[in-house]
Amino acid sequence: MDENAALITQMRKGAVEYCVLALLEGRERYGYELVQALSGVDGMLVSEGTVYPILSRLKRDGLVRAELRESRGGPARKYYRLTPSGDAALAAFKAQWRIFSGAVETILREGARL
Amino acid sequence: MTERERLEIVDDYLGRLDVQLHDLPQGIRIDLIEDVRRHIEEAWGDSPDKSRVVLLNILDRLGEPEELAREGRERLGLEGEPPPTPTSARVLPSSFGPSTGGADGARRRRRLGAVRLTPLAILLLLCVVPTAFLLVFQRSAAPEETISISQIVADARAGRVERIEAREGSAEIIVSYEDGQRRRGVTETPISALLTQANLPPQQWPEVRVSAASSTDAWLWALSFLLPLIVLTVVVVLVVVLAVRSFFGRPSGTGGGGSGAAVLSAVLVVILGCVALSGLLLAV
Repeated sequence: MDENAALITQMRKGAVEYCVLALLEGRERYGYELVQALSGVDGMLVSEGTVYPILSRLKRDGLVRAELRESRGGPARKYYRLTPSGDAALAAFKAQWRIFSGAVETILREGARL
Repeated sequence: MTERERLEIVDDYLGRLDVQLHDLPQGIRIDLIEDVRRHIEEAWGDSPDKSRVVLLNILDRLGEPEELAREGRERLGLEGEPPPTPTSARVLPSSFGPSTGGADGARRRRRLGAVRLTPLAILLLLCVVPTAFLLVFQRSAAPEETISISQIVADARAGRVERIEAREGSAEIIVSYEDGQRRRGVTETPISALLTQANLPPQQWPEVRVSAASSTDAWLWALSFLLPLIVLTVVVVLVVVLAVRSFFGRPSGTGGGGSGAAVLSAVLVVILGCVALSGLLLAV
């Protein structure tokens, strides 16, 4: 059971990173906005705070760029946008994911009949 | 819930996060803490209900600091190390009460930061303030021009000297001239011998005042010198400690801001020393 949970956690972790990139496709968003978008989709996040280490890593790897800007009446906001290599990574993931998830879906649906 | 209570709970959470992130590179650690702080502020600003429950819920949804730190280490490819304090997040309850072990740990860290800074500030004060006083006293003690004994003798002979002041046990004499000038000289010769040497008849002698070295002078000196010194030192220490607390009391600075805080306090001390010095110079 534990091993199963760990596997699902790993799968989720791998995918969340690309979901963050996908949310930034064609537009910029600030941290809290990203967290809200992710937690608005059921089953995506366990803890909202984990988005920030992900953003740190994406930034370090050059897939996103961050810019801190003042906001009216609130705390400063850190806006994230995709870099060209972020765009490329997202495009590659999308293609692979569609093939893979389609394959898994097929197996799960028709496994007994294959 | 008051703003103070709210900040206490938030600082407590961020302090625990700071402890958990101890092994991450400093830049990343500070970034993460600031990201989470901004998240809390945004979420709080978003909520129409400003209650304690809402705040605890925001923190609950963020997750345990330990979880965030684990995520950070994994994402950034760093090997996990246990946190340095015995207050592992595993023993913490999921609600963030202010009296948990982690909270105490974070506060202890903050206090230690302040304690480390104070000796440095005091040390700097002990250098700056006496230097300032020394400069002021040297300036005020030496407004007169220093002249040679032969010059005094020549001046006395010419009848220009009005008064000669000397202190018992001191080789220093102060010569006042008719035109109001004051000059200082040093002589091992008694004044009477000096005036005899000047070849002046007693009726032409300038007024000679010899004052005894008295113990009240020492008290006056102590009062005029030490009292302002002590008062100024206390005031400056208080200002520095308060400034450092307000700048670095937040957890983002407990670890990484240590050297920054030291530099800041040093700068503050130097600035205040300069202000005190210029004030004293003006007063004198």
